[in-house]
Amino acid sequence: MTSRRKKGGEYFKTSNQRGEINELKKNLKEQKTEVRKDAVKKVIAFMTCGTDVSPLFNDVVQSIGTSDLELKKLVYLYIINYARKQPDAALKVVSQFRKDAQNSDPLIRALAIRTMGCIRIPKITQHLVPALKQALKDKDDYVKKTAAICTVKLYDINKEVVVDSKEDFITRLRALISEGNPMVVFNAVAALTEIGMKSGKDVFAMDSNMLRALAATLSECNEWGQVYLLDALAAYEPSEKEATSIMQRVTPQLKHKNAAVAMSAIKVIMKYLPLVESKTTRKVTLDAMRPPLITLLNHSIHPPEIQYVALRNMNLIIQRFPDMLTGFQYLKEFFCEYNDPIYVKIEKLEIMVRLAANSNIDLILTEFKSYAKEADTEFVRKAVRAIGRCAIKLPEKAQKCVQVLLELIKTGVNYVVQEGIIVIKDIFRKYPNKYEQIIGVLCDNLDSLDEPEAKASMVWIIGEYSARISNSEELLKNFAETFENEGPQVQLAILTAVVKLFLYKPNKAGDLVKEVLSTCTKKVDNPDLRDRGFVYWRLLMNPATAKQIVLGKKPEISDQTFQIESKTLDVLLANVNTLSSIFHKPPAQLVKGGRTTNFKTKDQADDEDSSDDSDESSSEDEESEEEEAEEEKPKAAAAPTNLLGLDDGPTIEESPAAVESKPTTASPSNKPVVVLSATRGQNFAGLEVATKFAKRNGDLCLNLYMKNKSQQPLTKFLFKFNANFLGLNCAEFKPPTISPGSTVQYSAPLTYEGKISDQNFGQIQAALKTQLGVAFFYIPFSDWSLIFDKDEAIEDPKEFLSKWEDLEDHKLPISSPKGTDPSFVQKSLEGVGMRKMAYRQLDASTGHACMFLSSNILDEDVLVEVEFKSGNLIAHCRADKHAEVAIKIVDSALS
Amino acid sequence: MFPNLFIINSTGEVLIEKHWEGKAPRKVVETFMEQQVKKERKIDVTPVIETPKCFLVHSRRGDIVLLTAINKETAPLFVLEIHNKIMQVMYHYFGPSVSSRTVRDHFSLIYHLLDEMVDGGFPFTTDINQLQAMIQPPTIVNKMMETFANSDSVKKALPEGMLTKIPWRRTGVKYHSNEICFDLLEEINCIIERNSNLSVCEIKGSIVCTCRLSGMPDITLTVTHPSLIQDAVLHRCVRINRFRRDRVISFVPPDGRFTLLTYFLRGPAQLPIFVRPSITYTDGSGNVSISIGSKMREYKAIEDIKVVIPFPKEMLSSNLTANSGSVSTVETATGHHREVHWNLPRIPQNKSPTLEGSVLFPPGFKADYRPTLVVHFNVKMWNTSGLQVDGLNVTDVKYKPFRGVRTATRAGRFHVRC
Repeated sequence: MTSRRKKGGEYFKTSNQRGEINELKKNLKEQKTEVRKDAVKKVIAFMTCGTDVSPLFNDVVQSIGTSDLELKKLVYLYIINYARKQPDAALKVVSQFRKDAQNSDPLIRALAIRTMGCIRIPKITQHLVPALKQALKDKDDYVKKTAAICTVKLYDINKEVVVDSKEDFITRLRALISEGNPMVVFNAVAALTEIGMKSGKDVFAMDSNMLRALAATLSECNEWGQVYLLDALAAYEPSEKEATSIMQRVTPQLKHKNAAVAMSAIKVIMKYLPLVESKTTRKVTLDAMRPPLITLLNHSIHPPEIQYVALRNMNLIIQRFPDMLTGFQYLKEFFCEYNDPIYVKIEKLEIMVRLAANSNIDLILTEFKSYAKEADTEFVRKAVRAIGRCAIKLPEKAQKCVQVLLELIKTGVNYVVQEGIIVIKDIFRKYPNKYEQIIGVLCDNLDSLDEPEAKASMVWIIGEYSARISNSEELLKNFAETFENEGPQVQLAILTAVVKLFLYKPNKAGDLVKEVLSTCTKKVDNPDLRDRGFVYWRLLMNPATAKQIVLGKKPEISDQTFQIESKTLDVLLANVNTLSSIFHKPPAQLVKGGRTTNFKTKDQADDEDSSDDSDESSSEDEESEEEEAEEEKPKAAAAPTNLLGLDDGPTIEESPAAVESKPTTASPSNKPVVVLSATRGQNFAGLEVATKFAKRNGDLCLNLYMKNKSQQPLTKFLFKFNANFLGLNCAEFKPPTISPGSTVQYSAPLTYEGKISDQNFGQIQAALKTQLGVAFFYIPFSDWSLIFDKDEAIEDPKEFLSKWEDLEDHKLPISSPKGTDPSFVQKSLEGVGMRKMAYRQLDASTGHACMFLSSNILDEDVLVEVEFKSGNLIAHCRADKHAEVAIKIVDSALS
Repeated sequence: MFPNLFIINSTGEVLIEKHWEGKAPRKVVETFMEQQVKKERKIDVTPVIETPKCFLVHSRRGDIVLLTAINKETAPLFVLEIHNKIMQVMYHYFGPSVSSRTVRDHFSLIYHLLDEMVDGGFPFTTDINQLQAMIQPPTIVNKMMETFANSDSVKKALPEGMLTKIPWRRTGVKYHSNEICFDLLEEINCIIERNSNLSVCEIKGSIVCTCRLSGMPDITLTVTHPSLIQDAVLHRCVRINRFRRDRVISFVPPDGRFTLLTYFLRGPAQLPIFVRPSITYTDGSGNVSISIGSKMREYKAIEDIKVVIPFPKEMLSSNLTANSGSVSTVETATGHHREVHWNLPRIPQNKSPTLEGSVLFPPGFKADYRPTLVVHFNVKMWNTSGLQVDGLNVTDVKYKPFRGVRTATRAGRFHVRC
């Protein structure tokens, strides 16, 4: 037994749990304290890794009367976790808690109070209230501080008692604030803040006396206490005089090593500063804020996660105080390093663009240029965009920025070129007719363009400057040749560009414009494109008017697009260091404002939603969310009628694009993935396994590449899948003997007859047993084209429609899609083996549209609708059994 | 409020979960893993994620992730700093390499620690000294004691000083020989541009104190050039008002080793070393030449030099040789780069070390890649800023302690662009 106690981890490694539990039961009845203690420890180890040990409740609580402090503590720990499942049994123990609350040892008094607060059943209230009241007046500070926190727990169990003025819990908590011990003060503050937030009432009712008491205790508290005190200060509405003196008190905390303290201090200053008239005070305070802000970015003190939060907040602060960090020495703090995580790099870029001014742009450009040569594609693109934004922001320095962009484009790196062309289009829009000499360079790179946005931008540029580009008609003709294969974004761009060309060079482009217009109006099923085709056609009947309209002056774009509106900024700045400040959304849009939802208990969590939504509708904060949900409902119902309109028109025929376009989403499983490394195994080493899902004779199989790095030949194998999201099962697994040092490739046939589980989407847990032991590992499954069968999919729109109406709808908003234009969606989904049925524009002005696709999983039809709504994508999916899986696949294919 | 904590490994397996307020469903871990799968590098997952039901805040340390799901307004930094604290405590208990293995092995101890550190969602006992007084770290001696004497890792009483005004120092400390040592450590973080200009330069300095003194000593430390430490981040034991007024560091030290203060110096500094890289490309192959040398006026041993050259993963092969030290090629864990490592035990006095050779890229690869070199080194008995201890006074005790001061400088993030 003693050897077992060395490591907590060994408590897990039991194979026969039932036997173990019986043994524990026996040990818990043992006389010797040590044996019982050891047994309780094991029970807790079981409990913490999720095993149900509630049957042992009665046996465990028998030890509660012990005089051994540690055993008592362990029993208390157990009770906290299981009292909810056995409330009656827990009540039996209550008398012992009350007895302990009178104990002469303050530690036991505190422990009893603490544990009673953790038993969250209503019946505990009558026992807890008297004990807690007494504890709040205890002579020992440790008990008082514990009691303060326990009041919050009592509030969760029974709100009324705590806020009831007769019971005077609030008064007692407030009284604790004027007590000397900082530990007691801050716990009382924390409790009051928490109750205030949960009840939505100002239970704190801070007055100037309390304000002074808090400010005086501030420097004596520990770091967490300071956070609570500072947050309490930030919630107060001070007079100007108070504001000045409190800010002086708060300023030293800016330097605190704990970023939460420093940021809370910044929050107080952000709140109080506008109240102060004196210019010197303002300047002094802002000056004092600068170094601490920079320190928050210091990677040798703070991990990247903290830097990220700091950067998001700083982004807001410098929008209000733009001159604060423009100096060279500060700017340099935002330079990215190649091993920063991408989220830090992107935030730093954002801030550098905000700080860009005529005085520092040279430095910034040099920096951006070096980023554009790094290896990380996403970051390189952002850097190129950032250069473009600087050009638009600073007219006097635009020339320099364009120069840098050109240099980058000349390197010929594909994605740099594409991104460069996109930003140059914006620059042309901001500064018309200024930089046309660079068009030649852009035209050199026409062949490398394959992204819709870049293509559309290039076409726009050619169209706009077709009068000055000598061979513009040839260039556009080339684009027009592949017109029908392009996505709508490029098609629209080509249409407009060709019309512009015709207006500039009527005699050279007559044929081309006719051809494009007729394709648009006759062959294409995109109503937007068709309608615009018709409009242009009519417009061209009168070239003079057409010239006026098409070639007229366009509104300028500016860099204000990224600026947050002033009033919103006020709200966000008052919420520095909250979630709002990270997502740059006001609290009402983000969090369920003072509402106190607790996470559901595990058994509640299974029957999700139903109760949750109904009580939300009453809350006002919910408005936006509710509205959206309501808007969506009629639409989902309307979808089939829209589709109905389709099948009598000729437009239902498959667009050639859908047939020809090849899946472009690179399937990630081209290479086998190493799922088990020879050295990293827990208790299993010596075998390295890489896997890859594939099809063999039309059946799914798993190719395993097994390398034996151990010293013995491997002959016996047992391979099993856990219940997984696809219900895959590996029935047969007979690889040949693997001699030491050699690699064997084996292809295991798979069936769909296994158990389906909704856990671990996209991963399949497998176990492999060999002479070396048992290894557990996850095999990622991401090549969806293996399970989606395009050839079996419904092709007939009528059949599609009737199926669609029969089946239940599953809906999922795609949280962060990689792209939102229809061509991207179509390409991505065709890439995973779906067939596009139709695309319908519901409302051209808002871009509201939907696309219908069909496919087949395991002989089961899957019908999918992707809804495009104000820049968001919502996926609907209908199928017999696999709708949940299919919708997740759609989600992962698009994001 | 700190409502819950999941410690998960890189495949999303929950190693420890603990709930202080309600119970967050395990589904949040799946949601998190779905976000992680989308990223090419795991470290790129945004620290605060918005999901329809809640917000996920996480910190990544090595192969473990600390994940907290919050469903109402809570300062994210508060959550992140608690994560930080938990990790610091784990580093203190289990050494600098805490991994999923460590968490598994010390499962119940960590669970115990978490229980002490957070109570009902409020940070409770987070001071390492206090925790240690309650829960003993797993040392070899403890293990022996556990095995033979059946004693326990959990102490029975509340540590003294829990509610005193000096909670960082335990009472009744006794040593046979009393000594106090200060290490003045400096780290150079800088970016050197292609034209050898210093575009970013920052010195992170710290005064680390190792204190083995009996009783309740009161220490006063003065340094030369106190203006250098004007913006210092101080240990909580330092009397802040005294420091602000007189620039004198006066404190009652905790027992053992701790960082007394950390300061930052920005602006140009004297670097001990120069690195001159050059890379030119011709037809898909690059010619590399890198030379390094000492910039010190008088001889100081510059040791443990390591130059890391990250090439893109497309690089086919490299043929680099050095006239001093050893060269190796390493695939980075993230798979983004293929790094060439050049290790030198020290810079030789008689020759200047150079690394030369070529790297090969596949045909069609537009090579304009300019790697940023990462340089590591150590210099003993020297610091960039010239900060020195001026005076050291130990009062309130009857003995005369042994006193010592050491200085050292090393490269922090020392980047050279080429």
